[in-house]
Amino acid sequence: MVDEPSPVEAFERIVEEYQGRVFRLACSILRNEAAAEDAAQEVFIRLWKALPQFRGESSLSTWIYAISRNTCLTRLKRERIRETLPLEEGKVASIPSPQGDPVGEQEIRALVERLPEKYRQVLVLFYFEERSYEQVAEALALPMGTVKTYLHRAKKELASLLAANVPAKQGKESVPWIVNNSMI
Amino acid sequence: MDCEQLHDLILEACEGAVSPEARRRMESHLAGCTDCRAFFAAQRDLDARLSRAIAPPQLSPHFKRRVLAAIESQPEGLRLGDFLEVLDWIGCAGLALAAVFLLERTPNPALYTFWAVLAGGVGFGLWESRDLLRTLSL
Repeated sequence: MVDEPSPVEAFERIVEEYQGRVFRLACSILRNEAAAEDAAQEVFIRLWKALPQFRGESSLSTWIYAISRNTCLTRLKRERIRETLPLEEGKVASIPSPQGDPVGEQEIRALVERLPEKYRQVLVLFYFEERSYEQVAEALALPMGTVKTYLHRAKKELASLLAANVPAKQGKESVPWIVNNSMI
Repeated sequence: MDCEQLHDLILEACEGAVSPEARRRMESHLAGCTDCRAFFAAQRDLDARLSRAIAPPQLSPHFKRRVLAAIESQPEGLRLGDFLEVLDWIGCAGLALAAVFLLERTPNPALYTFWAVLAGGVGFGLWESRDLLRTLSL
């Protein structure tokens, strides 16, 4: 007879299975690895507290993604409110360029940043999730057709920007995902 | 198939998501259309550049250990879930008592229906609020 896993063991398996997906979703929303890792940790702590109430009305992954999106969006709102407050001296982080990052890739990243948010998020997550429409659709709770439409609009827009040779903005907006290292 | 329709097919082909049959149709169109060939080349190049530029981020190796440590350090106490369970029992007991009380005290039997509907409505409201609280607690 096989022993039932303890709640902590069962939870450990959930963390093992979902940590990467939760983290990548958080990265695509928050655009900062350190913040995304903090958010992912918060997601799992909330999940641990809420697990006894999980009634299986939706799949576990749908539920985890919903908690992840809520957590990240709450953090994003909090961050935006903080940004409207006056900054203290010396608190503005400089955003380094990743070492060995070719200029072409920086330019692409800067152009991606200029896309409308919903297109940007789908595009970034698509490449984070190794080109899986299904993963993106599930993570963002969007129909698969919408994921494809957003992705294709994003790419057409990028192609037009590249063809028009639109210069990327310099400074903070040019490499938004790179705060700690070369995330994207 | 016109060029506009083919553009979507080209994008899917660059993403590796077309059937062999669709690919054949695409290739046959590309053979005779310079504009679509240029679009295909541009998109293939863009896809390669995006793949290089948007690399999946790596979670730090000790993430799981940190999460488990954080969970162990969570204070033991009454969680919202426990509170809601207690509310369930109090709500059910309260409704049952109220129903008995009203049935005994109501002089006019015609009012029974009114009270029953009112009690049902209050019960339903409590139940829904409880679900709402659960959702908000996430």
